[in-house]
Amino acid sequence: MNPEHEEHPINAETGKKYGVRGYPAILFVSPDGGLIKYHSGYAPPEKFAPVMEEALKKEVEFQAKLVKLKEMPEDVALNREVGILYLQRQQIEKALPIGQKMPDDVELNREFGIYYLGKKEFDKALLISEKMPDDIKLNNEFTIAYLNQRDIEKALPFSKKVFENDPKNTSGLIPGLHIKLGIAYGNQIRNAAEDVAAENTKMAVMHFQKVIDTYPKSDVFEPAQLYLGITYSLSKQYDKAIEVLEKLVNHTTDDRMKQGAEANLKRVKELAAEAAPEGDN
Amino acid sequence: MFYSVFHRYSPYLAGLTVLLLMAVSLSVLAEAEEVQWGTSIEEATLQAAETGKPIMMDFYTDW
Repeated sequence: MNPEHEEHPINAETGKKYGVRGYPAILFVSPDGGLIKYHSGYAPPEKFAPVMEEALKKEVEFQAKLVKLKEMPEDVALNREVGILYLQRQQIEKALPIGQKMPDDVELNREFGIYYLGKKEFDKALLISEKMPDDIKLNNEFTIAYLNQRDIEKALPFSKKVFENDPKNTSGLIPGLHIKLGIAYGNQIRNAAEDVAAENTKMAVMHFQKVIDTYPKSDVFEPAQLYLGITYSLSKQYDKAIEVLEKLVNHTTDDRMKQGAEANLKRVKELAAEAAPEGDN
Repeated sequence: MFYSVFHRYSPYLAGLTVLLLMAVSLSVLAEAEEVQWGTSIEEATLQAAETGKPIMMDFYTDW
């Protein structure tokens, strides 16, 4: 297939509309432009067939909800559900009238906020955040959105609220949030001035270490170790990096994680050897 | 290799990927054995509106 990017600007516009963030991406869209399902990455036919079936099923279920809503236009739960689905389907124009009917609905408002953050419409999202300043999920989404903009400073007040309002990780979002913050700091070690790099290293280590110490059962426990090792390596603390990565290699049961950790360990050892003659390691 | 592993786990760096080629294929989900792939979103949207069937869009690169 010839690249059509330039001749068909609508391709890029459509990708943007549905938030295509990597390729390949396969999207199922309803005739009226609602995103039914987003599938990222390649899947062989036997794995893709169930994806298609699920998309068709989801659409049938959604249409059934619309029929029900016509029968019971005042049902609050149903209005909320359909409004949230419209937002997830990227059909804001259809969600807005429902939002106007129930302006104080927390769950629907949260979903509006998440929608606007996805569109990088921070002003509109902030108006919603003002209505529910302690909402854990929305504050989490704000943190992620600002980190995606590489704006740690703007992200911090929101992450602070998440940590304050969910000290026991009831939401399950805390380990992932530490990882995202750690990565954001970790990305600002290389090429930074020495003092800035040291501060960012400290913050990245703190976040990854927190996951390792506090959330050993979370699904980001091993990624936290990988990132910690990489962070130490980026800040040229090769001995610590080797220690962390060797532990991960020896304990992980995930093949991909093991490969990743081994590849990094090998590279760190090379870097350590290069640094040894002139450094004080 | 070293940094690429960091990248793979880092969604924040994904935006750096420079896209040189992008193409879109579309297909109205066909009940027939043979899928007819179209290459225009406008056409597919029209066809979907007529038939009431969902559209499947495939965003991919040729690298």
